[in-house]
Amino acid sequence: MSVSAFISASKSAYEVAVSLTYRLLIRHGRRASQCWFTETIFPESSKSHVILAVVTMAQIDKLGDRLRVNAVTETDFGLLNEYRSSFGPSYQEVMWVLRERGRGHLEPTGRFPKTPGSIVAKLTREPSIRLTQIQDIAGCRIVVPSLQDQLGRKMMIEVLFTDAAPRVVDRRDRPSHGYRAVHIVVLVRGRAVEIQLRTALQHLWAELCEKLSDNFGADIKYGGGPEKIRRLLSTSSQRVAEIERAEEKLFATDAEIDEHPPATQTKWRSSISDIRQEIERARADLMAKLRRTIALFQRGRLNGGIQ
Amino acid sequence: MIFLIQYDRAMGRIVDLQRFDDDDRASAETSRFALELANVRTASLTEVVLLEAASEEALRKTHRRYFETLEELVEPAASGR
Repeated sequence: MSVSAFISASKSAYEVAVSLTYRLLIRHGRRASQCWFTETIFPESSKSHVILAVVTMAQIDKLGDRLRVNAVTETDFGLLNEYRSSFGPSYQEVMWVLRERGRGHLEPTGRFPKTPGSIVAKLTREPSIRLTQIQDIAGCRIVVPSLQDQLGRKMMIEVLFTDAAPRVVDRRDRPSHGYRAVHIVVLVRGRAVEIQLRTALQHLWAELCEKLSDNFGADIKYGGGPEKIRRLLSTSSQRVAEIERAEEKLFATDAEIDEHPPATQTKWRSSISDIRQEIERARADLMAKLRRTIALFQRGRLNGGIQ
Repeated sequence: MIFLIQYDRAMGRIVDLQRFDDDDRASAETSRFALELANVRTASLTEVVLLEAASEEALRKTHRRYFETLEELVEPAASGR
């Protein structure tokens, strides 16, 4: 009987093999998170076949190199599936903490580990990145109404994941091709999980960018595509930032009002009211501009393209 | 609740949406992998994505792109969603 036939012969034999090999690897200085067993069943095969191997991070990076040059076999595809599935327990734990310990303040939508297409696109886009270095294979998204909510939730998440080395990537002041949001990467069970935290306006911009990419070309998300679309995304991202800065100012002014002498508080309240109206006008102007421009884009698309 | 979405990027709309209970995670993942493998074999560009949310309403809020057109995204009430 061959080793693979023996291993696939019984579940208990498989478990014994896993246990023994893990012990052996750990004794030789490898951490459990650096390797794992893989067992992929291809559902459409007439005879289900099982891949059973110990996979190391070095092998995963070699897989990444093959994915980058589009030289993948179905076995590679199965291996990629196993690799991303290894993020499952970490992802589930993060979702559980956000839901249960967030006490209703954090309402995440989880994305089961990334699609192969997204992984390959990232590897192609960033030639120097290794597959094992990709931070957002597993992740979730939280959308909150305002900048103040974003700040509060960010602090809450950092506290909830104090033991998970939370790393904050703040793309609000340094946007990535116009994309603004706060991402918090936590390390749970040896795997990175990314928590995206967006305000409603940041989210609107991001969804718009994605949708424009669907309609007019995937490179729009990364600063490419027709000039008119790039300009729209760039100016609307700046406009969103300005509105949010005004909201921040409003919140700070509102919080300090009681510290002013009673005689001047009426004046401060009037000032707050003015800022609030200004923000509402800016929001309405932004939306009106987006509607007008998108209507033009759609007409342009029907008439043969946008430059 | 778990949602398995097949999204046609060129058409900008969902072509299939399957729902799974939270405790049916393994079936959802197996179904996703089968669809992805079929896409690889046929060189299809349809996006297959597996998402988890408290409700479909919550999913529609955080992943609007799958459910709304470009025009719907910028409707007057959209900036506060």
